[in-house]
Amino acid sequence: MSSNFDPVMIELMRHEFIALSEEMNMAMRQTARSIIAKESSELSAALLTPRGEVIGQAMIYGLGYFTAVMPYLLKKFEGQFKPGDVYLTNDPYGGASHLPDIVLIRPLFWKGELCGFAAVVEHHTDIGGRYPGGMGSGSTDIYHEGLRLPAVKFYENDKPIEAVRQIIAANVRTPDDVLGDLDAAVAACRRGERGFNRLLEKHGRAAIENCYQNLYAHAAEAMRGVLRMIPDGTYRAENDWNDGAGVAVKLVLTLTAKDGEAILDFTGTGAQVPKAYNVPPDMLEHIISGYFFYFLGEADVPINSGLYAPVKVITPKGSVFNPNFPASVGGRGTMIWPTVELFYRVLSMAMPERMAAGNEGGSSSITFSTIMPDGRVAMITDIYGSCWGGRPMKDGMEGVMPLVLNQYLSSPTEAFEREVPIRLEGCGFVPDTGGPGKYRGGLSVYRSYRFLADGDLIFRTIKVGTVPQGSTGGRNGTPADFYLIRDGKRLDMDRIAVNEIKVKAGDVLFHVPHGAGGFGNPFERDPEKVLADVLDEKITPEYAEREYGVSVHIESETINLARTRMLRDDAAKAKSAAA
Amino acid sequence: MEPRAGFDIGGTFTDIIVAAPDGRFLTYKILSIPTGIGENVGRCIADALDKSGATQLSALVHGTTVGTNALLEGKGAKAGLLTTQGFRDALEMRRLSLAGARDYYWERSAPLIPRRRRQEVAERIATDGTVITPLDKDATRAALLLLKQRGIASLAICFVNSYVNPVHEREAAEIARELLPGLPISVSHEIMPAFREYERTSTTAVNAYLMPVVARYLDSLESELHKFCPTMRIMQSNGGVVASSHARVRPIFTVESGPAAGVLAATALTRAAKIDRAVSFDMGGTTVKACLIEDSAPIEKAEVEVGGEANSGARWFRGKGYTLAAPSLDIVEAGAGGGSIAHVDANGTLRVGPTSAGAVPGPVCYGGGGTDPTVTDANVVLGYLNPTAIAGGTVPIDRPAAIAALEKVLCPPLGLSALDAAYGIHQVANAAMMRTVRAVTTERGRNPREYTLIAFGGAGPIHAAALAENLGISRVYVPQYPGLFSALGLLLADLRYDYVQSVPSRLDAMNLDEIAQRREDLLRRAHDEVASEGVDIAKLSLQWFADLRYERQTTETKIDLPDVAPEKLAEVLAAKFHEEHEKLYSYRCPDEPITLVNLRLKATAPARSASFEQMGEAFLRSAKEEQLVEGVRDAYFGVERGLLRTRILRRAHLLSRSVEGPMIIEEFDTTVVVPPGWRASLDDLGNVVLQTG
Repeated sequence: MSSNFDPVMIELMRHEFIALSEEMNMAMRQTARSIIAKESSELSAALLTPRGEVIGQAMIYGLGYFTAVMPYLLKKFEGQFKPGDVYLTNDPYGGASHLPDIVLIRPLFWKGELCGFAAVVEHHTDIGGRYPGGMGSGSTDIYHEGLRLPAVKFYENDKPIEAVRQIIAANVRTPDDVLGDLDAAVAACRRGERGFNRLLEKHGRAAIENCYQNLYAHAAEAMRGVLRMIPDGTYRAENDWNDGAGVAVKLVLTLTAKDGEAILDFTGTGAQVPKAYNVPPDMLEHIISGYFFYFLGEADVPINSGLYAPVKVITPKGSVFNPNFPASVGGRGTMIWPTVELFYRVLSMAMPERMAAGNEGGSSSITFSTIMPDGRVAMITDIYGSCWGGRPMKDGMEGVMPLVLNQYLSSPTEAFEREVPIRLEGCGFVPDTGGPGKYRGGLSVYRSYRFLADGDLIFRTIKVGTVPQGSTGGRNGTPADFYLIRDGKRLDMDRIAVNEIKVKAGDVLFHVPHGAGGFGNPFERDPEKVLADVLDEKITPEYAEREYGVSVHIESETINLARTRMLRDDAAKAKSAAA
Repeated sequence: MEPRAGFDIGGTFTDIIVAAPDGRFLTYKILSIPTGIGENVGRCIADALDKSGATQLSALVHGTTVGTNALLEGKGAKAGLLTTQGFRDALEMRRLSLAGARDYYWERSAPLIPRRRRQEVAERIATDGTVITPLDKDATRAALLLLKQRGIASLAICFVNSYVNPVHEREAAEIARELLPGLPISVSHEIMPAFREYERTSTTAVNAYLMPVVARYLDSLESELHKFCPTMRIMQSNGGVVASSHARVRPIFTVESGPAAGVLAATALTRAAKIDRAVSFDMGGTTVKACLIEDSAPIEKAEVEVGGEANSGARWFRGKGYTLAAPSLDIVEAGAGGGSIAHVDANGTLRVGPTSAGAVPGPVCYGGGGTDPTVTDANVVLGYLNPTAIAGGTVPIDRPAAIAALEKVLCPPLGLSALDAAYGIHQVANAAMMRTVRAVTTERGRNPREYTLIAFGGAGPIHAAALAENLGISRVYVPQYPGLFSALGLLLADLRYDYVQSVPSRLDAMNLDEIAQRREDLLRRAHDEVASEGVDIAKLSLQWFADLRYERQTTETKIDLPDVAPEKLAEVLAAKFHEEHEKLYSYRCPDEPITLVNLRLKATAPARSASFEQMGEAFLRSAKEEQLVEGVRDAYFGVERGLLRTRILRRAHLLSRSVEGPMIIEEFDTTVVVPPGWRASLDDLGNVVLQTG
């Protein structure tokens, strides 16, 4: 803690920073043009110190992007920043993620002095390259993947640099979306600037810097609190991952926890691959340490770079987690999800009583693009989640995003079918999926899209060939399924992580993701919960008997107690006999 | 003029205020005992009529929390939902949102309509309104019969894209009326004719969930009160009033009714007292509520989430509670009131709330059987509240019982004296209140130091100065009738109706005839509704708005609809929109087409039947005649300041002079605590003004 500790001022400032970044998010979303920004909120805004640390954010999402990009920007432009400048970068070899994620940064000045930055990151609809949306798996180097913006100046004297706009417009499939969203991001940064200046005017630089130091320390301490939940020790796990199409990588993680500090060491992980699954060099560090944040719970903790302080990440050079230039990275999400799973597995070894059973494995997505009669490209990237594994004391969530996408909203069909020839025909729970457990895994949430024009479809799913694991006596989850329906007939799709196919007008993509794993012995599940699931048609009565040993009488909405006792006793006897 | 009455039913007390023809205000405060509440209110009104020599009221206005309570306590109707095939689970999945959660063990509230009572039927409308799949009427019948069998008491109908073409919703509603006669039906295109299927479904579901509850509630009230006034009006969440018949079919507009009335009164006060920036602070028996008032207008919001996240970022994130799109005042609430129970948790920490002693059994000192010490008990022990009786002597206070309860429950684990334990409760309660005020100030980038606190509610003025001190606020207003302020707000409100009509088209391709037609339709609806309330149409004031956006945006900007010749409309609207967009977001896109999304009509008609000026005059008249007796008792202000001999005054004592604290001002409906370091004076409206520094 700093010597000038003024708890009221610090608390006030914490809320000011949150309110400001929230206002920036709002301005961004309200004026954006792409569906993924204006409906799904795949974006985040922040205020940063002149050193590039995040001061405060309304949401955790995006924290790592800013933290990773800023050192490169500072190195390149240190001393050259001017009021009215705006910079862009999406360079995976300059701290950024894959190319569609553009970080826009505006230096902020007060009394002629650089006093910080306002920044926005957004996942854009398109960035050019061989695959619409920039996330195809087949690219073998970064040059396939679209337009790379290696930290360039985008505005000067508060005017856009037309040449840069023209280069972007000429290289992306949806210039209206991308440039419209960048305009919105500039507007958001100006909002941030206005508010930040107001704060400086009122309190002065020193007071704000002092508050920031305190808030940074507070965040770091909160994270140490989380890390102290992990018993001191070293835990190691592996994950043999393959994409179903010939690419296999061994992922290795060793976690060393000691008194509120953690080292995540990926030494032993396989070499980079000649497909787009490589994770950009600086990204994994910020993404994977961020997974500890989800144990902060409801506590009102300041969101800033201090959260990263107690965690160290080691990624071997030349591995999929730290590839050499010019490896392709567009489909890095495909690799990150199994890494997250590996991370959870390691934590399960360290604190099994706190960890959930396996989840669906990560978010899936479709990117659909088509050329409209007027020659314009209409495109959508729709990302969606399904379910979580059963948790200690609680069922897994169902009909929900994975935790890391906690800012995300699925796009309403009423919003996207106005703009793109595609229709959501349905989305909902699939009965009898998910793993039974005392706390059951979430049900699979199916999605069915009908395409109304010929076009290109990139369909990314997760966890090919495995199912989410049950935990502590809970059963495994259920397998995924996906196919195309053309002229009323089912067309199978390759069981691979990323399908890149042509679709025809009238085709339907049907996807049933994995159901999540259960936690604890299903025969110990509260029969009332089983009854409720049957009445809600989330599970069938037959399934209830078979998987839970609970017999239900639907008409009277009651449990058949005698039969339930019998079923459960039999199961117990069989179990003790087996033992 | 005949007498007018407002009554506000809160968690602990029901407040009744009657404006008599001679300018006097007759006030009543009774316990909110659910059984026979209408009868008890009726008795008070009868008494007021008797005292003012009248037999009838010219207006009866009600503020209620029945909607919020039903949602928070899960006590709404057994509702059913009929929806488009493939969308059965939209209501439960809430756009897959995590509401910003960073909690591995996160949970959201259970859906208002469980899956077993959500049925889907084949039908589909395209985004341009074309019918792709006609409504399967047989399936609709079957689904409705199944819902009937499952015992639904209310029905919501929401189909995809019905906001563009409601034909299928109309057909389904028709079938439902035939098959399930008498069943309340909420149809999405009537309730919220705007896009986004989850938000519309949720709003419709909330309406269906509340309809039977609100109707039953109003029936029982009106059966008792009809004899005093043929039409009862209800305060809406937006701070305007409507006929109770309207609230029966659109309960979503009254979900935040009770809290809105208090804010409305505070707003009227800021206008009368010329206060630019204020925070209304309302503390009753079970909750505290805060709202920001700037330039004589409370901050409004278009969408509410009941039971959502209370954390920072709450405005940004939705998905934990129940979303409903209804114009509302932006009020932040927390469970800390006079009745909040204090306890010591497992870590030995003193906690206050969220459990409340409510009206029954109530705080220990009320002698209603309560044994758990509450915030009110602490205030009695501290000497802030009169140790023998409050509410003008009508509610006896048992201070020894309050001390005994503290000594039994809290003093041993805390190792504190009764006085210090009571002061601890007072402070912890203040901290919880500070969060609500922060939620509407610092969390919105406002510095509370620049604001005036307007304190009301039975317990608000007890805590206001201490709370203000913690927040750096240096001025507090305690209006007249602070303990009945929400009830007073009911007499200060005007009729208000909000209408919206979706008219999606590009500005450069507007069908002017259609627009004229739509405007006429909206106007007729407003006229009909107002006429049905017996209000002269000539008194109606209309404000027209257009929601516009750049073609590819998704959020509209509300613009005043200019009064220009039709052929000029597009040009003028475009100019105004570009300008407003630039003002809000610092840029414009002159080349991008603009879309007109909605026409809006806000119709208001005068209904207010009281004013602060009038109350100020009435106060001055009566204050001069009042026989003033000053008292004194010990009050405790913490270890540092100790137990101080404190003057006990009446409001009228402050006439044309300023008095330094410590001091306690006792009134019929509240008690104002003025700690050392503060001084109190009166303004010419009869408000107590507390200042420090």
